[in-house]
Amino acid sequence: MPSSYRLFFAYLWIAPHVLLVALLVAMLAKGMVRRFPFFFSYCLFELIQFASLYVVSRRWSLSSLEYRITFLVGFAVSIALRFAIINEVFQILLKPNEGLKRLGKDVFRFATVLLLGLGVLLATLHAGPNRFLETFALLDRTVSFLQCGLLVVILAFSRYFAILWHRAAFGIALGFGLDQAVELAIAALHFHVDKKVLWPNLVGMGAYHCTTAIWLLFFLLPERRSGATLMSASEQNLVAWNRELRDVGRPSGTSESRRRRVL
Amino acid sequence: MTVTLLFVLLAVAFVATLLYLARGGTAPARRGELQYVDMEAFKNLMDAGERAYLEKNLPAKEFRAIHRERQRSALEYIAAVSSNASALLILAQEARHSSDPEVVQAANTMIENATQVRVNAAGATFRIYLGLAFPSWAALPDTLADRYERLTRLELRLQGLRFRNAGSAA
Repeated sequence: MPSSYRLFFAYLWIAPHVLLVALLVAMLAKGMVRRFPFFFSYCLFELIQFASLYVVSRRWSLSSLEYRITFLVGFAVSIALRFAIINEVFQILLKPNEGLKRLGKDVFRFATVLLLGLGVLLATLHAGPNRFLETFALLDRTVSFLQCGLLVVILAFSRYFAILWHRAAFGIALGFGLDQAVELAIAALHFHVDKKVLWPNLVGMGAYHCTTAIWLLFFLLPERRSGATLMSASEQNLVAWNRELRDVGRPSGTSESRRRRVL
Repeated sequence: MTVTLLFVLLAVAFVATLLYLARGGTAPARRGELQYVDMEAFKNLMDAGERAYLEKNLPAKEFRAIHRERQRSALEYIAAVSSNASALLILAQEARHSSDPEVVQAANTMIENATQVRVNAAGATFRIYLGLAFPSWAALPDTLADRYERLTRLELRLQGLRFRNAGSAA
């Protein structure tokens, strides 16, 4: 393994966790732990996992079985926390919109069932050897697919109902979405790329680095207010009404005139 | 390999969709612009009675052509109504941060109504497309126009409260 690769690998392994430390400090300083308890727990868990793996990789060598158990436990906790975070983001989004809570919950449940069904169906299409890494990649792919889909549904839902996002919640969703999409592609490629090829690993780690940077950025930025105001809308409304009045009597045939025509 | 390619394409599509949905957007609703809606015409287009009247009094071929045209026009109106509801949703969410409890209450009512208009608009669009595909489909959405009218009245009330507050502050 070339030394430049080792250095780059070490950077991509350590740097996101340095950003996670900064993120945890920012969350504590801004009092956002109570608002995002699962996200805070996830970041903390990722840090603890990183620290343990780092120490273990330096001091001890694990047996294959020990490694698998450690890996699977970490993976399972990580998946559970990520689902909890997606739900947390959605609840924060719905909290000020009482009228949307029921519809939101129904849409979320329906999307989960639909995506899970699709994920399982796509998983059955794979007929590879049933080894540990293949099984793990298959599971990883299905989970990434499900989480990506849920994040897209949440963003589409919020856009359709013009819900104003809490900036940090938006950053969490965006970061997770990008990371999970890359994870999905890598997990899928796992079945066809030689295990000695290093770039998929680097791409995955790079995506996680970008994700932690996005989270930190969105947590550090001040909460925004939309530029639109009721007064400006009122003025714009008047402009629109004036334009409509000017259009009266013009030759028909345009889309706008068709919209006004009643047969 | 096909499944792998499918997942890679899915991942690319997810990223593209996320970025598209995440960007601020330049739609009129996002800019706070409202589109003019001729309520009388809109109500006429959504009126099931009007449809029945036309069906009864026009030759079948002519009715089908006119009905299709009415449905296309209704779709344009619904898009405008839906876009306006979206703009009002954004504005009402802003107004909810007011220190005046009366403004907050009016904004909350407006949010509820605008949300309902958006839900109804989606349903109405779906039903009209069904009607275009299957002309015998008779069900026309009839509550959307009323709901939208109620929403515009709420907007006026909210505007009034804001003007009153601005006046008393000056």
